[in-house]
Amino acid sequence: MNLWQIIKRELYEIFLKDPRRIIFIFGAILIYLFLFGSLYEPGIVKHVPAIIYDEDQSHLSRKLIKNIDDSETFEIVQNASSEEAMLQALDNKEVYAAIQIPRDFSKNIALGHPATVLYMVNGANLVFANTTATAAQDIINNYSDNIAINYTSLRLGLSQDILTPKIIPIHYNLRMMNNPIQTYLFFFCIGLSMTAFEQGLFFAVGASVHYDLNHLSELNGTPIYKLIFGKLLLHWSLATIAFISFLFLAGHVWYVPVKASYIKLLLLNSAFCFAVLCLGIFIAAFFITELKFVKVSLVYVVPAFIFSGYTWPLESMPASMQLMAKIFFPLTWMSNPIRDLLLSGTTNNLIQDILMLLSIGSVCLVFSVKAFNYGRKKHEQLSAKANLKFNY
Amino acid sequence: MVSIQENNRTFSVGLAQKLVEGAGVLPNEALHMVYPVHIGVRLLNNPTTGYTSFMLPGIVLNGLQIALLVTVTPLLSALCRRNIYGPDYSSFLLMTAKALPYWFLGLISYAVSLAGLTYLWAVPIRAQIWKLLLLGGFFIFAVIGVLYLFSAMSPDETLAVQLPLLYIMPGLLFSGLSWPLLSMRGFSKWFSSTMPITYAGDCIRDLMLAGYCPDFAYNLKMLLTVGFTAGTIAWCIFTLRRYISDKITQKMRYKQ
Repeated sequence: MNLWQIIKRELYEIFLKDPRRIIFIFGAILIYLFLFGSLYEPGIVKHVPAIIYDEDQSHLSRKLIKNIDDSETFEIVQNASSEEAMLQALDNKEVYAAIQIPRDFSKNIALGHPATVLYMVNGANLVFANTTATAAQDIINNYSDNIAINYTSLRLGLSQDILTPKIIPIHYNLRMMNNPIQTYLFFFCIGLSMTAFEQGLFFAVGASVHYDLNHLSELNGTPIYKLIFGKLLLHWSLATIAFISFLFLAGHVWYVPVKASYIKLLLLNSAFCFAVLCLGIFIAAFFITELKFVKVSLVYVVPAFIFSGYTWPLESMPASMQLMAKIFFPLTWMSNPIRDLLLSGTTNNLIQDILMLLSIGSVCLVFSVKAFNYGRKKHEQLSAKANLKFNY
Repeated sequence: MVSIQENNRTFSVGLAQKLVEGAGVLPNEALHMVYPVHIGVRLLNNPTTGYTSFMLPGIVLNGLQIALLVTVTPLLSALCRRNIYGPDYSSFLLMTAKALPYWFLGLISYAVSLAGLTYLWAVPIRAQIWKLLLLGGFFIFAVIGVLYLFSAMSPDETLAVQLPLLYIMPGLLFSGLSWPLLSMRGFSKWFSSTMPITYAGDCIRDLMLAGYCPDFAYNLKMLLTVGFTAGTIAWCIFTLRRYISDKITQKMRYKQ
């Protein structure tokens, strides 16, 4: 078979004979985008149910409660009548945060003594703990500043305008780059879709390899390198179209910003698809059945995501883990750079990422020819054995 | 971000104190004037806000369900394709006999993982062990039920293993373990409610870190419901497929 015949044959298999392959290539990335897009649609955690235990019951404590209730982060759902009731509500998960205002709260403020508001949160879920702790700190600090200005001006007999710059001498403005509202949608969706993309490409190319190994007679002595090249070319082209569809849907349906130029994004994606497809062919050819290959690739996908440094930074991992992530998981060179490119328009070292992906792909490509040869011999032996049994 | 805020705050308060001292106020009094209301933070159940305790129990369950996915899902498809057992064996018997070893081995693997969590990674186990094992047992039952459903629906073993990619694999993130259930809406809330890990992920973490899980009985009931419902549907499909397969085999024999 020449290259055109190989591609025609693959096209026939992908679209007509075994259409699940085209579903894997397009479906995995797009369905994951939809799934996680809908999951993280709210973007940030808001309206966390909270309980207030106001022992002071004063004008000042009520003002603080109003400030807490006005914030988007908290939703006061209960007012506790005792400390036990407050802890009980936390234990029963009726609420996830609790704020206790002590008995002498307003008295201490009036006397110029420090007053402490106790904030409690269930730390088992860090998303709750981090989000609400930051918000609680902000609310109470602002409240403290206002009280400080009011009471100090009364005590010292100075106007609030003169006192304000003394009480709050430093203003700091937080500027969050690239993901200003810190939405989980932008943070997670991109990497998870890439993980599914990798899995989909594995399944598709694995099915293609195993179809050929099970139908060796159809190959008519076609050189293996030509066969692999044909497979790669077609799968790579389809994967590129799938990636462009992802970019379009991510931008238009979930409003993920696409700040980098398409050339950069496509270059990175091309290198990623090349690495994943070569790795897929290499591993698939080693297994005697497609089922075994699918099982192994399913076990591979979760560690690939976790080790890629997408959520837990690569720099915080032990050196051996970092090395493993860089060598065995192409996702490591794709997940963070693609997020950077989409959200900020630039990434630290795009050329290095692309070169690393091309290197992984090239090594796998060389070995995939050998692996395919190995697989072919195994299948030939098996069919010879089966024929022998049948004749006997 | 929190540490930057804290640093800025500390510096700002210190500077404000000095400025107020300039108005003839004593240092201690000045500090209380510029910083009258403090916040005391108390983190329950995970005071060090450690990621290990936060994530590992859920990851163990996710690993367990992936292991079950890889081993259990091909079972019914293979039985349908090969048609080894004739009509003498009931579908219920075949399903139960096939599931029991996996349930038992799954439970052992779960118990070993719990030991690993506590002895290797120092994740505390505050609840009684029997509660954790009970939760594990119900979880494995539910996962096997769901996987049986995929298996009964799939034409072959390979597709049976590939199909749950869209269901089992996103389970960890839909379980409420990291992104809370109360922040989920519409489709994601419904999708999450169909997953066994939703009823086990948060609960195992609560049992390990806090020593109790307020929804323990509810979670067990839901795991049982999910497993039983999925298992019953799987049984219906499997019985039907076996019936059709037997009929085809009989016809072929008759023709021969």
